[in-house]
Order: sequence, then structure tokens, then C-alpha cells
Amino acid sequence: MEMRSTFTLNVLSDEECIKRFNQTKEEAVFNCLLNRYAKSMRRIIYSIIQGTEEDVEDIMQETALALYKNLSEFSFKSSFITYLYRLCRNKAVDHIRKKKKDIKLKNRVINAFPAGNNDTPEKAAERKETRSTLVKTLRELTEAERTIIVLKDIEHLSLEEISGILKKPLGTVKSRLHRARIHAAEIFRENEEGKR
Amino acid sequence: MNKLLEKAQIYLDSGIEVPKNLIERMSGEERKILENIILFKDDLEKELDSSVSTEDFTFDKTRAEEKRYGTFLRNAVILAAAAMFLFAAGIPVYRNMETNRMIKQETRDFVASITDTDWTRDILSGDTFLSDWFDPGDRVVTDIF
Repeated sequence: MEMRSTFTLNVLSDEECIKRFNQTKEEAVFNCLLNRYAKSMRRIIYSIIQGTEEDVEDIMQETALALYKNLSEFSFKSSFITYLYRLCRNKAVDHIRKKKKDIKLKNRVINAFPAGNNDTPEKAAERKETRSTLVKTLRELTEAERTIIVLKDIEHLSLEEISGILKKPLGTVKSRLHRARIHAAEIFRENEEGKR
Repeated sequence: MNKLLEKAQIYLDSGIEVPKNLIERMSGEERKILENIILFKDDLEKELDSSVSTEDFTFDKTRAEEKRYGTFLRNAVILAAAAMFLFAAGIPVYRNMETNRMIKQETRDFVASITDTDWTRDILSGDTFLSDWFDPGDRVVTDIF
């Protein structure tokens, strides 16, 4: 019964799913809609925050919550994907900002109570962590560069869709994308050469 | 921005193979960058796929409930702060009004005492004997009322 129900939902378009959810508030419909894009959402979130799987899932829940509350107001002026990915991106950026504040606060605490000869747990963990060239490269890019590369080269969105997500003019998106790729390629090469 | 690299990317974005004559016009450095653009893209896709969960996502509705109570508390705090602010701002206004009332009452009492009468409004209306005590144009008299 459940499988047939899921199958029935899967044949509905995004628009049909949204209309049905707004009428019935069925969680199954909501989850079905989200699971169509869950992989892409996770990739976008991860590429922006460069965090743990728990962080990614936390932001997924935050995005889902925002969607759950506001889906009745979605008016199909843009595509659902554009709307959803914009939500994702905004939540991920909020997470980064909050994390920066937390780190600043933590550093104040750490500096107030120096550890003496021993490293702080954060520094020790950082040294233990190994980074591949790619992860290193990703971390050296800005959040904006990572976002635009992932949206275009991994999620294969059109420039118009990316323009809708980032709320930037098409020309700006195009030139930023091209510069971001060149920057990524240069850092990637430096890190590769650094390995040898 | 480098024109040749930009043109090459336009081809890549269109899903068209970058023309050989365009690549031939590039310097060695530019070709390396183009090569790394493509390599980076392929590696990035693998990295992202291996770094994120592939499990089905289930929305946790209890978060909506937690947020609702949180919002209620936040609104209650804001209202309480606004009420305290209004109360605090109202104190000097009230004191000013009360002081004015006291001054007026004392002035009336004083006028009543020097005219040796019981205080009524009629004393100072129109042409009264009080004009003997005050200049007709004295605004202080009318200000009392």
C-alpha cells in the first residue's frame, strides 16, 4: 500500500505535488517532493559550508522547515528548483555566518585561558585531519565561487536559473562563473604541484 | 578576463566541444588552466557524491513545533520590553502633568487668598474686580485656566 502510494506521488509533477500538499498538508507528499532534490540540495549545502554530514543534515532540516512554512505562498513565478535551491543556499550561508560568530567567541574564550604547552583540541584535530587536493582547493575558494561552480557544473542549471537563485543579472553570473572556474583551476594546479 | 578562456568556457557551457583552432591559439599556461577546469569539475562531482548522505530525507516536523514556541517566547519578551519602555517614558510625562496641576492649584489658592474669596472660575471671567490686581493684558492670569 505504501509502495503504491509512493509510486502514485512520484508520477505527480512538482506543481501538482505542491498544490496537493497545500490542500492536504500530507507529510508524505512533502517528503516525496523534497526527496526528488535531496541529493542536489545536500551537494549544494556541502559545497558551501564544507562541514560535517551532521551540519549538512541540520541545514537540510532548516531548509525543509522554511519550505514547509512558506510553500503555500509559492506562486510559481520562478521554477520550484530555483526557489528551493535559493532557500538551500541562504540557509547554508546563514550557517557559515553563525559559525564564524561562534568561532570568534570560542577563540576569545580559548585566548582567555591559554592551554600552556598543550595544543587546544581544535588545533590537534585540525592537524590530524587529512585533506585531499580537491577539498583543499574548495576551501580556498570563496563561498560565492563554490556556489556558482556547483550550481552550473554539478547541478547543470542554466545561467538563467542560477541568476534567479543568486538574484544577480545574467551577465554578472556568466562572468563570475568564468572567473570562479579559472581561479579554481589555478588553485587546483598549485595544490597538485605542491603534492609532488 | 582572458578572452580565449572565456570563449572556451562558452563552448563548454553549451555542451559543444571546444574547437581545436581556439585551443591552438592559447598559450601553454592557458591550455593548462582549461585542462584543470575540466579535471576540477570531474573531481568535484566525485567528491561531493562521496561526501553527502544518499539516504532518503525525512522532514522532522517537531522542529516546526520547537520554532513555534521559540517565536512565542521571543514575541512575549519583545512586548514586555516595549511595555517597560513605554512605562519608563511615561513617568516624566506624568510627573510633568502632575507638577503643572499642582502649580495651577497653588496659584489659584494664592489668588483666592489675596482676593479673600472662595475660589471659583467666575472670579476671573469677564470684567471683574481682579483687574484691579492684575494688568488686563497679563497672560499669566489666563494661563491659569
